[in-house]
Amino acid sequence: MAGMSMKACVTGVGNTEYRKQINRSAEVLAVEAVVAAAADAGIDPQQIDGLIPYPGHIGDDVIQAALSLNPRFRATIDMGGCGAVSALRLASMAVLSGAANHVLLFRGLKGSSGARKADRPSFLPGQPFRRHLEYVYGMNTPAQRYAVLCQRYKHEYGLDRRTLGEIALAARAHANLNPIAQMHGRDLTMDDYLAGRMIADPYTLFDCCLETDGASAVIVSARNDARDIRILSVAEGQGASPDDTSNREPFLDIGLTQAANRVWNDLGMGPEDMDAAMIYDCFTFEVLHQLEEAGFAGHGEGAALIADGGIRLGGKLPVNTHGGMLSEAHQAGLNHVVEAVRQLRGECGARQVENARLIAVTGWGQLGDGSFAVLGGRNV
Amino acid sequence: MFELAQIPVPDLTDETFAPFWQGTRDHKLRIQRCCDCKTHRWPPRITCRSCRSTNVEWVAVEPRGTLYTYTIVGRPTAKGFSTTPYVVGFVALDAVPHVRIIGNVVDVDPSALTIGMALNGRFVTAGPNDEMTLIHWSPAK
Repeated sequence: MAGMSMKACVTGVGNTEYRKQINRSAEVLAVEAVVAAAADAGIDPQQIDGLIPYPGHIGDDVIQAALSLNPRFRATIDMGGCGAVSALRLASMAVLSGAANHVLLFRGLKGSSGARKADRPSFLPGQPFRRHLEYVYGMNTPAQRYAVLCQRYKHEYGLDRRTLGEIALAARAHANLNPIAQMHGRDLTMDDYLAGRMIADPYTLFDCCLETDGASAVIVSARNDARDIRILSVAEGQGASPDDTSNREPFLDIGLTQAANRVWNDLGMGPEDMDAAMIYDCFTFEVLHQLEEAGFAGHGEGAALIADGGIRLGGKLPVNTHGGMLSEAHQAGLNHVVEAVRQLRGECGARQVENARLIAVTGWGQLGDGSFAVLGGRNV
Repeated sequence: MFELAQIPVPDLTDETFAPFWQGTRDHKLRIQRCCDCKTHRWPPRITCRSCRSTNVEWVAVEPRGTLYTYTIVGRPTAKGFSTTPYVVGFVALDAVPHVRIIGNVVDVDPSALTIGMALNGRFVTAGPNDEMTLIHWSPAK
């Protein structure tokens, strides 16, 4: 059993409120989340000696200066939405090697009240491709880039809009059990979903993740106390052409495909062992897509898992019990790690997955990068 | 439908892309082919991913293909594209089916689009001074 070897643990998680507009700077929000995570870990912030920031968000220099930290390990992971789970891996390596004791992962942004996505600098790889081959044809947003994946899947396997709708509705139902969620208290019906305005066909408004003002933080430590959540295994992978989706073959191949296999092989476990999954839900179809690529359903069979409440609390595999990026907040996936930890500690109240012991978390970004982790509670 | 003069012009002298842009200016669709193993490749890269050779030539192929996937953009996000809806498609070339070219699909009601439909490319000048030539794809008659 994997738990026999030394594992790094998530010891602290924290976040601010998640809202459409918060009248504090992103820097202040980030510091609040970090202080909360340190308190949650039972450490003084000054004990944080490793920092992994997120490109384009608040830099590690800001946190270091604000909290007077003296880090001995700093690294940046330039993998977009894959970065939260990949940072768990790097932080694990750092604390297990002795390079640091407490490594901080954090996000802080004015993603909603700040500049629009299309007006912010792009950190995607292959910038020349974007400029020469995509922008000149009016293709410049994540919704458009991900829509073509969904459209092709629809052609190959068939896909009912109501399946995508159920992914959005399940996220919203979970968010309505989560008081900190940006969309808490705002019901979403299938009629609302189907009436959503077109963004990039097949994606309409409610297929797309939120933009959020807020911050979150996670601390990974070389510690294994009673409340700490073990990072049992974590891996990365890449799509067949890492910087270009248009000529990828197989077209729907993503980094998660390899990453999940690595974790299942490492642990001697499989999808059937998971009590819940936190899936990087930038768009509705990407939940279905990743459930298939990680092995929770066969290719073309994800809709059956999603039907009949399969991904809701109480279903076969509760997915994104916090509401995900579709309904809790956009924290580039770090809120998925936070939720997995709270579930495994049994802190989730009305949205608690009963006896949650093992939770899978995915990351997906930069057009091809995928990451996958399994976190384990104390009773594993 | 598009404000062609407002579309941002990339650096047409970029050495990786210049032969492509020179090709479209001459109304040719040119893609890369490895001089050594003759594998066609796209998008332009410095190395053949089959044999690792950096010897590359640019060969003209017929601008004909089929629609591999697409999106209908419903809200304006890009300069030169303020009128929606418009269509961005990936077109698999008849001559080299593993090569897919990104472009706008025009002259078709977006609701009539089907994956696999035959398309022909035509060359359209764009940019503030007509300095670049784009490829628009229409249903084959």
